[in-house]
Amino acid sequence: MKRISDYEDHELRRAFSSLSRLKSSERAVGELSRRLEKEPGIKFRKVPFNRIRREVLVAVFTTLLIAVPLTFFFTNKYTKLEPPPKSYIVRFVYENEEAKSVVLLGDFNNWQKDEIVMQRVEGSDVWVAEVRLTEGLYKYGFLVDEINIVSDPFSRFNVKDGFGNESSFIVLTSTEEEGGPS
Amino acid sequence: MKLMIPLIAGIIVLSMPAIAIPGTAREEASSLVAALDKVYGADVDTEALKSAVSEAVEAGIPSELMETLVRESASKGRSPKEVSGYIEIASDLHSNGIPSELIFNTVLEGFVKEVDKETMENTIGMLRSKLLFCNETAQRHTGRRGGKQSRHELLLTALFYTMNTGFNKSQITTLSKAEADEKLGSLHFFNILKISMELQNLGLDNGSITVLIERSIRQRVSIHQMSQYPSIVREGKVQGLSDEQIYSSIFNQTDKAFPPERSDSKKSTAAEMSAPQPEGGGGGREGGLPPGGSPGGRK
Repeated sequence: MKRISDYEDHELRRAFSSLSRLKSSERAVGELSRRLEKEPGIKFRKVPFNRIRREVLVAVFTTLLIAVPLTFFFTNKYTKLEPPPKSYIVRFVYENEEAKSVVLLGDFNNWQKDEIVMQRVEGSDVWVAEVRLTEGLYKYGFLVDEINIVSDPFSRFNVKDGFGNESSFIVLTSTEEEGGPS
Repeated sequence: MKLMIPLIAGIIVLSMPAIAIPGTAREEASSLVAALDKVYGADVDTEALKSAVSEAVEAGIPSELMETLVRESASKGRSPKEVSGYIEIASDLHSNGIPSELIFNTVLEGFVKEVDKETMENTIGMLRSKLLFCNETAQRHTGRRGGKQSRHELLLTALFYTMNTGFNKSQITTLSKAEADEKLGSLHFFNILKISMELQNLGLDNGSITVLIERSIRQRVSIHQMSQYPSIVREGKVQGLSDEQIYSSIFNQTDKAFPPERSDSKKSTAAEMSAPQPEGGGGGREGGLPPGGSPGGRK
């Protein structure tokens, strides 16, 4: 009987290539490969995860199948998909003939003194600044000459600031929905 | 093999929120804490502030806001102990679902107005309890779960400001109950609060405003009609009418529009409820002037 080492390379290659097409039990293929491993000069190229590939695929697929809907359900970013809040360009106007500088500060800029410097309209006592704001409610005031913070004298809304003074505030909301019966 | 690549990509994408977000927050917190060392000396209070900042940022309070607060407090010479007190209150409110901005903005406003520590602490303490009450009230109208976050925040902020104009818990509860009884939406409530604040700003008594608005809600007066109340009050004041005369003029107009046999019924249509408000109705248009951001003040 011919031993495996007696075969030429091309003969062996042809013989092995036909193995994958043969219908044989997993046990028989396993037994054959164990025997072949003992033969001198024969090396197997191991395919990583070959045996457990199917199990891994099933596990990963099942995990995804459960994880994806759960992630969408529980993550705020996915469940509360909303259009971005509407934004408005708001023009703030303040009139003061004696002021040397006027700065607009409020909730929208964390009350920062150096962010929104109002511009004086040439030839007038009117100070103007335009700010893009998203819908919401914002307290604001005018810092005059880097000393006094004054509220807007003509604001429709004023609120106690909690420190013994008042701040003006604006309400920016859409008029599309007035809130009928729910 | 073809399946493996999308599967691995999917796993990576899914695990990103779990890995990247806390990691980023931790990094931001540690960089803020490192910056604190440069601002304040190393003592017990600074350590307490560091831990408060770190916990707050990791809990999800925006690091930019925290950075501004820390920077401003340092530039105003505020003690680390005082600042960590505000941060702890903000973190506590944040854990109750209340945006930390509402407290931090008041703190920053106090800093810029150079309010002393004692007044600040008293005010922030009072605001904390107000915010908890407002949050609870807002949740009744927007729902604890599933409600739109922005809508909840909008109503919460409106309730908070309404209380800051002088309305007390009982008056707010009265309005909230009327809204809930009539099954009106959260935006309707928001608009009601806006009208109430405007009436209050015109110098009317809060108790009387509450009675007027509650009655209007129960009579199903439309928002469009209610938004006329401030104009009626303004006109009445110009004519020199007393508050009682102004109220009776409002009630007369309301009763004419909604005679008792109809006003008590709940058949008012959605069209009536959703008629557009005049004067921009609280919303400026792109490039336009919003109602609050009134053009022009005169010194």
